[in-house]
Parts: sequence; structure tokens; C-alpha cells
Amino acid sequence: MRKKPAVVISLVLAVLGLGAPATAKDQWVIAFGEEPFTLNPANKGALAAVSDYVQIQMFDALVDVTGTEFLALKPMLAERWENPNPNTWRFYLRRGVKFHNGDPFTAEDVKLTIDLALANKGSTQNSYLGPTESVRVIDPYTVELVTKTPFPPLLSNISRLHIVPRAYEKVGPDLFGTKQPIGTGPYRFVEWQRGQHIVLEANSDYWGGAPTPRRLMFRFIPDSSTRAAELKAGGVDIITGPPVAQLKELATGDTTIVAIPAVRVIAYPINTLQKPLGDVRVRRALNLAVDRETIAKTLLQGYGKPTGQPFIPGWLGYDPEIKPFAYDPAQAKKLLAESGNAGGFELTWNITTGVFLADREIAEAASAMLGQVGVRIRLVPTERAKIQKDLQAATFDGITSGQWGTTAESDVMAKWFFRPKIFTPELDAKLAQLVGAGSSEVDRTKRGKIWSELSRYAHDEALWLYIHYQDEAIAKRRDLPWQYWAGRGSKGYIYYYIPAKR
Amino acid sequence: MRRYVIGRLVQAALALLGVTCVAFLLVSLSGDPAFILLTPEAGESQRAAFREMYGLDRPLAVQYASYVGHVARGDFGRSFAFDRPALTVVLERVPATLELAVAAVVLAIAFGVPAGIAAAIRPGSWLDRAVMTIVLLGQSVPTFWLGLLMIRILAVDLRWLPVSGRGTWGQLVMPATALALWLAALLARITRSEMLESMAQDYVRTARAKGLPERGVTIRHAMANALLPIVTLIGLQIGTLLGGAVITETVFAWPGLGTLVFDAILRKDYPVVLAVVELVAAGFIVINMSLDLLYGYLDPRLRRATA
Repeated sequence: MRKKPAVVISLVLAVLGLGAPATAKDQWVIAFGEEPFTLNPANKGALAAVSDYVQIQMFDALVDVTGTEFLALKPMLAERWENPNPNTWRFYLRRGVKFHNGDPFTAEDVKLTIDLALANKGSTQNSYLGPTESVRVIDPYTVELVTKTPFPPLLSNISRLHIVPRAYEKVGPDLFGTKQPIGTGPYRFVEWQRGQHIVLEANSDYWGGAPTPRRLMFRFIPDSSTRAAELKAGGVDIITGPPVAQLKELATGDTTIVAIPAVRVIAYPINTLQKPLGDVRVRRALNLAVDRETIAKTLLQGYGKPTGQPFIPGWLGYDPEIKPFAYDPAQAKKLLAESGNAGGFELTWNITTGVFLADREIAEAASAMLGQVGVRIRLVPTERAKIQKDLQAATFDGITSGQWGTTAESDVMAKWFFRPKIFTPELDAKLAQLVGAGSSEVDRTKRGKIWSELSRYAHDEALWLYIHYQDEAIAKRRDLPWQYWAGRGSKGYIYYYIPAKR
Repeated sequence: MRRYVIGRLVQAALALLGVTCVAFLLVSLSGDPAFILLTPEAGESQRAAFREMYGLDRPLAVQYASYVGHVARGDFGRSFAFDRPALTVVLERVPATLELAVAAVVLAIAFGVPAGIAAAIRPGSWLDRAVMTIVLLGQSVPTFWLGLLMIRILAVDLRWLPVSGRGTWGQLVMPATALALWLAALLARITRSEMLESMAQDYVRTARAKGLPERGVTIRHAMANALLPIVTLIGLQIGTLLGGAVITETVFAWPGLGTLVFDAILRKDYPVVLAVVELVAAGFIVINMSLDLLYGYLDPRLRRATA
């Protein structure tokens, strides 16, 4: 009887149409923390990962780089490819593929897509093409990309270039990006309510077979606690970035957590040009002073693993033989004394807040541990844009912070972290040689060996303060048959449907 | 009167220019959008081309002059992030912000003003103490906490209301209530103190002495005189709400200006930030001018003074 008022109010609300909407099984609702910038993959400038999260459901690339453990190449709109010479990539295209507007997919569409990326010089997409000079249509189903110099990462990179149709030019970039995106992908566009949601429906003519469910809705819910509440209440089916504090609760009852291992590299590069950081004993001491096991277990609740090298599982160059530094404060103190820093020293550490999981908390914990061996850390909360600029311009003091989503190829990340002018001449010479060799070696196995060598060198010389790499957690309704499936060269880009065939 | 209006318009234009200048300086000094809006995979040549495309490679003074020139012609530039006209991006979010602001203000007036009057009629009574206790709570409870609490109880546990989003009436209930509570508390407090002051005036005693019914005394004489500060407060609060309620909008995923401008600041999307700032500043100016006119209507003494 005590429930009576609740029942009455529920009834009233139901009559007024106020109750929570029921989620039909033929529509999955996925909640992200932010909204895509545009649905136009040939956008002139800005690129947000979240735009790609939606775009990859609608657009295909020439090749896909996918897998749950390791990322591997897979044919997509190109059925096969070859190198007639080291500077030419020839792609044989899939026949019978249709765009969402009914136009057939041909080499001309590939040419348009590549030409747009080459012309949009202020875009991330432009960088994927590296030294690509031109694109040639050989016949309607054969196309060639010509590069100035051999460019091994091209295959992996073009998995990020979504193919747009010739109709793109008729529709125009603004309309294409907001109301009329046209791809060849498993889902087609239905509507975009600004600030609220994007709806897609299954492309029943998809060359890979129609996917399930029939509809996808992407909602944009900035607050992670609200996303979690929506999931618990059944308003959404899948959420990204669940709040760390609620992971345990979300793993029980109607909801569950899907963990995606080793998605994010977390970097704390050290400016070795500053005293006393030029001394490898000091850099090793810093690494020995941090108890990374405890940090991973407590602050990350297991959604991260201790590491001692720049690359993470799934990357070319990751070496399982390289173990994390041991937690050994006594040894750290000894090394500091040997290097003439027995009294400890002051050190600046530039940190971000909310850029990756528990970034601030981890830095605070590690600072306290470093304080135990006499390294007095001054934490400087810094804006993400400034942190990135300071790393590239080598204008930061002490230690900085960085992060990188998984990609199949290691060259861009290696350049980002190991080519700024923050290394002593001796270190710099070796790094220049390794990064140069790794970026131009066409043979994948040999390339992997070079990157492993870099990994070993970066560990031995303690070029970073190594703490951990990060997993990604996604929470979903327990009864939803969705499984994690990475795509397009990154474990962070995920297909939110079940394909007809994998 | 005409000279007065022209004077106010000139003042308004100057205020807008000042606001633009300060906002422009603040956002321009806060970081390089090329490092945020292009992923780190982009190289320095792509970042340089990006800056050139949006004119960010020019000296700050040149950028500002060019910006003001364009704005004067109604062109607020293109959003760096969305690569669409900044004004369009901003205007798309205005209806949601207006809807939430109006709902919150209506709720706040409907509850706050009567509560304040009721409390003032019998100061020290249980009703007064109850109202003041609620007012204290309303002003001290943080909005995000109240929001999350409502979500937990009303949406997750009881499933009476949808958690977040916009579109149905049900989705408006919680954000409007969360936003209205603080404002209602503020209104109740001001109404009570203004009414108490007004009730102690000679004209109220005179009215009572004439034998007017108490309700007439309260409404026509005391309330009418207490209205001015209350109306001012409501006007200013509407102005504040027009800028979007960042916290409420964030908690309830309400697609208004607040979340838009918050994201735009993080992304260094200056054209969007500036467009919002100018729109809100203009809104404030319009509200202030309307208030001045409204004063004349509410207070015959002011009317005679300007005439």
C-alpha cells in the first residue's frame, strides 16, 4: 500500500507523456561526452575524434585496420593493393558498391577524396597523406597514389580517409557536413538535432551485408555521472567514458563494463637539457621512486597497466621483454646521491586536468612518492593547448604530460615525443637516427624491429617518467549483444553495431 | 525622450565595443587553437596552414580590427571547430536557452514572490520561519548536487522523468526546477524584506486607517511599492540566464548556449565565444533599457520626473 502515491504519480506522468521513453531493441542509443564537429570527412580544418566515431559508421575507407588485440590490415573498398615501385601504391577497387544516394563507387570518388585532402592543407587529413604527390585513375576500378619518397605508413593512414562521392561537390561542404552526408558505409544519415543527437539507419544494400540494429542514435551528454544515470535508467544502451567512481556500480545489475585494453599511451617526457635531468642516473632515480602498481590498482581501478616503454601492446615496436622499472626508493636515493643530488632538488611537472583518466590524481600521487626520495615537485596545471605547444617548441620546464590514442603505425607518435629539442646532443643523435630509419623502412617486420630498438633505448635512458598506459572502459546494458570492435587503425575508433560478417 | 533614447543607444554601442575588446583579448591570449582543433597527428605545416586559413598568423591588433569590421557588417566569422558561420552555430542554441530560462523564471516567480509575501504578512510566524528555512536551503544547495540528486531519485530510482536531453515536457521539469530553486529563494528573500519595509510605511497605515480590506492594502499599496527592486532583480537574472546556465545545462545535457560556450572556450573556438559574449551583452543592454521603461510604468513618480 505504501507504493500507492508513486503508482498514482507514475500514472499521471504516463498520461501526460512525461515518463522515460522506452528503448526499442531495433535502436541502440550510444552516449558520448561531446558532439561531433561535422559529418563531412573532407572538412577543411578542425578534426575531433568524436566526429570520426560517428563518421566511421557511415563511411568506408580503402582499407581498414582492425582487430581487438592487435590491429591488422583488412580490405575495405580496396579489395587488394600492390607497390609497382616503392613510390607507387596501386589499389584494385571493390565492384558493385553503391553510395547511399545510389551512385556507383568508382576510382573517380577515390581521386576526389584524395584531391580534397591534398588541397585542405590546414587539416589533419592532409597529414595522413605525407609525401603523396598525386592520385591517378587507371580505370574505373583501379587507382594509383604516387608519393615523392617511400612512405610506409600510407596504408594505415588512409584507413582514416573516408571516401566521399563525386556528389560531394554538388551538395557542398556545409550541407554535406550537417544534413546530407553520403557514404558507402553500413549506416546512412537520418537526422542531426544540434546539441542532442544524431540518428542513423542501417544501409540494407551495404556491400558487407546489412548490420544490426536497424537504427543507431548517438546522444551527447557532457557529464559522466549523467551518462551513467541514463544507462542505469535505460535511456541509453552504451556510454563512453563512465565515471571512474561508478565503475563498480556499473558492472553490476542490468549494466556491465566492456574493457578495451591498452588504448592510450600516457607520456611524461623529461627535458634532458635542464639540470640535473641530463644525467641518466637522475632520470632512472625518478622512475625508481614511483610505485606504479599501486597507482594502477587504486587510482585507475585496474583500467591501466604499469609500463616502462613508450609503445603499448598492439603497436609496432612494443616489446613485452621491457619490464616496468621496479619500485625501489632506496635505490633511487642511492642514484641521486651518486649523481651529486643527495640533498634532492626542485622539479617542475606540467600537468593536465581531465584530459586522460585521473591525470591530476596520478601526478599528485607520484609527486608525493618523489618527495619521499627528496625530489620536491611543483605541479603546474597547464592547458592542453599550451602543454602541446610547449612540448613541440621545447619550452617547458622539467617534466610535462602527454597522451596518444592507439594507432597501428608508430611513426607520428615517435616524432611527436622524440623529435622536439629536449634531448642532449648524444641522445638526440641516436633518436634522430632511429626515428628516421623507422619512418622510412618499407618492410613491416624490419620497421617493427627499429621501433623496438627505440623502445629499448627510451627505457634504458629513462627518457620519460614511465607510469602506465591506459585502458578504456565502456559501459553498456547487460542484455545488449554489442561487442567491442575497433576500426580504422585505432583501438579508440569503435564500430557500434554488429556487422553481417566480420 | 528621443535624445534620451539616442543617448542610451550610443552608450549601448560603446558598451558592446568594450565587451568585444576585453573578450577578444582574453580568448586570443589563452592558447593556440591549431594545437587543440587539429589532432597531434597533424604536423607543423598543417598547423601553420590552419592558422593562415583563419587569419591567426596576423598580429593581434590587425586580427581585432578585422574582426570588429566584420562584426559591424553582421559577419561573426566562421567557427574554427564546426567550420560553419559562428552566428548560425550560436543561434541554433538560443531556443533551448530561452526555453529553460523562461521556464525557470516563471517557476521562480510563481513560488518565490507569493512565498515572500506570505512570510512578510506575519513575520515571525511558523509560516515565515518555514519559508526562510527553505530559502536558506535553496540558496545554499549547489545546483549540480541538486541536479544529480533529482536525477538519482526521480529518474533512476522512480523512473518518473527522463534523465536528460530536450524535446518533451518531462525533460524540462528537472533542469527548470534545479535552476529555479536558487532564483525562487532569492526572490522570496527580497520580496519578504521589501514587503516588510513597505508595510511599515505611512501610506499603508493610512490605507488601513481608511478601513480598506487587508488584501487590498497588501496588494495594491504595499506590493505595488515593493515591486521595483523585485522587477530589477528578475530582469538582471533573466540577463544572466540568457548566457546559458553552464552547470544546469551540463548536468541535464540541455543543448543551450551554456554548454556551447563552455566547450568553445576549451577548444579555443574564438568566433563562437565572441558571438555568444556579444549576444549576451546585447541581451543585457536590451533588458536594462526595458527595465528603465518599465520603471516609468510601475512608478508614476519616475514617469513625471522624465516628462
